[in-house]
Amino acid sequence: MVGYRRSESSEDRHLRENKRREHKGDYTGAIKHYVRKQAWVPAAQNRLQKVQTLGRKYLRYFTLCAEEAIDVRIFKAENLIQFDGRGYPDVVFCECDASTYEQIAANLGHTEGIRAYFDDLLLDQHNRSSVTVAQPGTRCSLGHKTEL
Amino acid sequence: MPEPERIAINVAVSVLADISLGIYRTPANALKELVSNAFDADATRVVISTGFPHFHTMTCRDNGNGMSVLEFKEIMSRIGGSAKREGGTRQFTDKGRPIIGKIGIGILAVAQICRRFTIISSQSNSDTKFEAVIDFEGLATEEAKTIPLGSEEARRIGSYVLVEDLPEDRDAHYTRIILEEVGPGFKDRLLGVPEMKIREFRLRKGDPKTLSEFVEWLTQTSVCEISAYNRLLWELGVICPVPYLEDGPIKGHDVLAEVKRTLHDYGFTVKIDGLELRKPILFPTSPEIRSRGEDYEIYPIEFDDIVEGKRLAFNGYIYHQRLSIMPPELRGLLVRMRNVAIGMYDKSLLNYPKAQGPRMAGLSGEIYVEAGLEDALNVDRNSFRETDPHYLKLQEVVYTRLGGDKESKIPGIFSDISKRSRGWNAARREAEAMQERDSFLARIEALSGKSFEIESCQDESVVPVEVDIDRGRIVIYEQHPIFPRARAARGFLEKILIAYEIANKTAESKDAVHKEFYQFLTEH
Repeated sequence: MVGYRRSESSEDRHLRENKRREHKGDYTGAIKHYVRKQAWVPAAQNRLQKVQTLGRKYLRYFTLCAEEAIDVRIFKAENLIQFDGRGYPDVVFCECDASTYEQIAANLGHTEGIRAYFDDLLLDQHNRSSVTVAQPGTRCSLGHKTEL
Repeated sequence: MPEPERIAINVAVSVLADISLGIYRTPANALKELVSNAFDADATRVVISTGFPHFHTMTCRDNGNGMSVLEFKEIMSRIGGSAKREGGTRQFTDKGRPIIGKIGIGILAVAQICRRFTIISSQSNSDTKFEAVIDFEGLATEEAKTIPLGSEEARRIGSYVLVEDLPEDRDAHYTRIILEEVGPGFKDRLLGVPEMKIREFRLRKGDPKTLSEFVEWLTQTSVCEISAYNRLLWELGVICPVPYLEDGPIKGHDVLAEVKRTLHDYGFTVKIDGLELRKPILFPTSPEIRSRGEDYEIYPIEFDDIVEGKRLAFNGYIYHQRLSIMPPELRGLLVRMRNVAIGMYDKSLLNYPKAQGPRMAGLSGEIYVEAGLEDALNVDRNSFRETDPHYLKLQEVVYTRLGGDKESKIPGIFSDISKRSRGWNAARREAEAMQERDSFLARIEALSGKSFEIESCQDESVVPVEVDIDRGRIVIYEQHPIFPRARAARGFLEKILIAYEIANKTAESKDAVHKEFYQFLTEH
């Protein structure tokens, strides 16, 4: 029901909520964290080195973070992305679930978010009327080149 | 004769649309209602995300008491019949905050932003939450004009889908509102579409990271000239019951001490897009006045009495500084009820009947209403009914404070401002005259090679100016009839006479006097 793409029955919504709670541990658990620290961060650092040769100080980062946005926080701690005191000017997050979108938005402050299904975004089936494609030279956005 | 028939009056659903779409004039006013609801729910933290820079999806969450499903259903079953104050008997929340909401139309503020939104809420000691998707899609249609409120057809105009008993942590308590597909009008307003069409409009760019930085930045500009998005942040700061900046509202003065303490004790914080709001009011707004200190004055204003059988009590301040207040949006008078601003700064000073010219540019004030004026408040919570006895009394008190009391002959703020202005102007003119004399003497010294000092003398003399070359002394006889009263003409004549006297005493021949005299005047 909360997803914008289709209507859910009350039963479906309960199932989805239970599943979300059940899998919350996957995002906050030790294994995921190990992967973040040992694989994701080094890959991003490697990428940052390349990007810095092109004159950028920080990465632009498109993320499908869950509600805690742990990856964004780790990248901030590792100084890979810019934090300007209010939010992350070069980060864009994507989330289809309204409730989760709200939590991410509250956690990340002044950071751009797209409320859409990622597969729709990739297949360009997102509701284009509700998205303004950023002009070249502005902050990264849907339709704008994002880098990692 | 048959008995006259009593027929019920029906109201069309479109009335709801007219109210919901018309009462909140600016984006900040619509969001203010969400903040006020959170305040009434004893929240300590409100986080708003506007969906900057595209404003497709807005979200608002607070950690207040939340709602039970029953409470939610109750609200939705009678919008406009708020249970918040329980028939007027409940005036304070459990935490002792004065309840802002009165008739429960805050939900309509959301309908102005978008027609479809989600509310998720949970209360502590409950291990469930509910989600409701509210749809006002049919509200502003032509069909709505013909459908009576409360009828079966009205369901097509506005309805909600509710999912109850979703699992939640037992100690979680919050209300979260997700506004999807924000309306194009609201979006365009925030994107500043109308302003961008004006050819001469030059947007002052800036993205303040803290409120203090924002306030400092605005002392150089007008709120009208910043982006609509930044204007939203500024207006929300002014309107909401958030604390002042540390030194606010007047640096170095303990103005509104009790109000400040109360606001602080509420522990109510509002964060919008990562920026924690404070009241962006910090006087003096001019660095020049801040350093000098004496160029402003603070006038307290207070009233507490029974008016038409009901108590009316308010207190506040009126501040005046010599230079114009920047941003100009801070000029005028702001009335706050239950700590929330009613409208914005009123430059007319509640329609003060006498024009005050440029003096108004340096004047700003806030009035906190402690009791009364409730009946005078219009449904938009942005203005007052000007025929209400409490409002009339407020006007009267403000007018007499500003313009003085005819009966008791107590002078008002404006006459004090005039008095102080005369003092400022005299001091300024004195300083300018001194500066002018100094530069004239420096010029004479450069041309004649001699330094002089000017002395003013009130004695009578046959000559207006005397020059003693040997002692380097010039005496001006101020009372001499040759001097006109007009200050500029007087200064000019003084210079001519001094130049003549010096030339006369230093030149060797008549021709040299002539030459030197004109040289003095020309060079200066």
